[in-house]
Amino acid sequence: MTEAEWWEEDAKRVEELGKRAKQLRIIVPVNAGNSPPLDKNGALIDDDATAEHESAADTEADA
Amino acid sequence: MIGELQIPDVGDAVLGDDGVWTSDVTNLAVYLNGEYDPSRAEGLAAILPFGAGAIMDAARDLEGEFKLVEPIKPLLSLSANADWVQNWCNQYGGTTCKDGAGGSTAKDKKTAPPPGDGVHDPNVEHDRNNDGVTESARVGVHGMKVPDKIGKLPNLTKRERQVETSFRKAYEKNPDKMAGDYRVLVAQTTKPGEPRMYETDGAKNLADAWTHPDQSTRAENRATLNTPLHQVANAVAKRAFLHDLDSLKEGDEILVTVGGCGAGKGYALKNVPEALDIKGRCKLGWDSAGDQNATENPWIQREADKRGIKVNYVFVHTDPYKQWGDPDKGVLKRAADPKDGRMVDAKVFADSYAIGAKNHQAFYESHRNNPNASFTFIDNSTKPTKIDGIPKEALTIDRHELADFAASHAALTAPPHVVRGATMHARIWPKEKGRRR
Repeated sequence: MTEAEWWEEDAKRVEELGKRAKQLRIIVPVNAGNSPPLDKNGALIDDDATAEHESAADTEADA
Repeated sequence: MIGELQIPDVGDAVLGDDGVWTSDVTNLAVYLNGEYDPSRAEGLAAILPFGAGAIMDAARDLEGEFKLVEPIKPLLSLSANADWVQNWCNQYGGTTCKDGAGGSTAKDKKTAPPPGDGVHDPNVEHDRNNDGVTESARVGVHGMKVPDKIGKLPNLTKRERQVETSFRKAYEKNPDKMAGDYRVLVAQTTKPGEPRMYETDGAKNLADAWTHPDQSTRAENRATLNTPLHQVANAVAKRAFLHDLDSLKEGDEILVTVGGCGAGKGYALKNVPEALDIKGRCKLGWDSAGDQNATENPWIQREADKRGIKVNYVFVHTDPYKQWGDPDKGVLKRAADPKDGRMVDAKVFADSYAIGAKNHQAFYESHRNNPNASFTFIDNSTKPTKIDGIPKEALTIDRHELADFAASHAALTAPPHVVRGATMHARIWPKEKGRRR
């Protein structure tokens, strides 16, 4: 097995960890909302829009 | 400042009174004839906003003034002046403006840490007790502690702060419950006959953003939220490990893997017979996050000594420059893979190799004669091979140079969410503390 193949296997292991955590119902909601749009530099395209979007998501979650 | 230059889609360059163009893209390595040359950074920064292709063209056109060190290392040397940059701008489509916008993660709006408890913003070179091992890494918790309260990172965005706060509050409400949950997760996912391995990244699976059902969203979260989730995950993993340590009896052995971020510790361990023998003898293990810079070694040894348990440290060395950008197995490549996605910040990455190796060397020198500690070293630069100690080159890594390289390489080659994850240090830790090490 090459190292690249090993990392692929490791990604599957991490995925299994996540699935098992869901089965065990031990997942914590961290209110991440959706991923905001980014420009090519990885910067937020519109910081304020993101904030509004997240506020809306929070309101929906509260409801 | 006498003018500004806006470069489409990439960033801004600013023309100073001295006629030198600079850019907000600052974390870029500058090499002159193969040697790192920070004094040339401004000149290089002036053309970096034009993108990798333009730089490579320039390198070809101006051979003699430029020197391409090697393909994996972005660049080189350059003396730029305003006329040269303006010509460049004309050729590649830049436009001048006075209120040019454009961006990097450093421009994102920041939030202050919520009032109440402390802020986690340590001097990563601080060694208060002079044992040769620094106390705290940039992320995670204090190396010697398993706190009930988690320090908050400075300068997070609103979204990052929400994530950090939600995870932190869940932990602080009942730290033992969260650690217990993770301990169950480790127990249920450990293969028969293998040691139960505790790891900070594993504890991030307790956050819903890390396990999002949509693969693409999950990958973006793992790239952009890795840093704000890290403090709590580190505390959870340490606490769970400590609980499990109590289940061992005197004379038992444990495994601790140490090495820089993405060094291939698990792969190396699997391919060196001596390391596999050690693993076979251990019931429990600590797969230390490179991010912690081996600051946890003294904590682990202290807790093991209390219980009469032997600790087997396996340090994995590799070339961080290669490991970051390798097209098959590199950190950037895996972060861009939707099936993986975890992205470490470039400064955290650089610290993990530069400070981590020095810390582990100092710890080894202090404990090499401790009967409750054993040390194994593996070189994973090519084929995993057992070696006698940490190679000299690993102990002389300049973390600033490595961070510059890592950030620049990400900026030039990676997708936006990976660039964001790699470069958030520019916003979170805008000023470096401590001396160069």
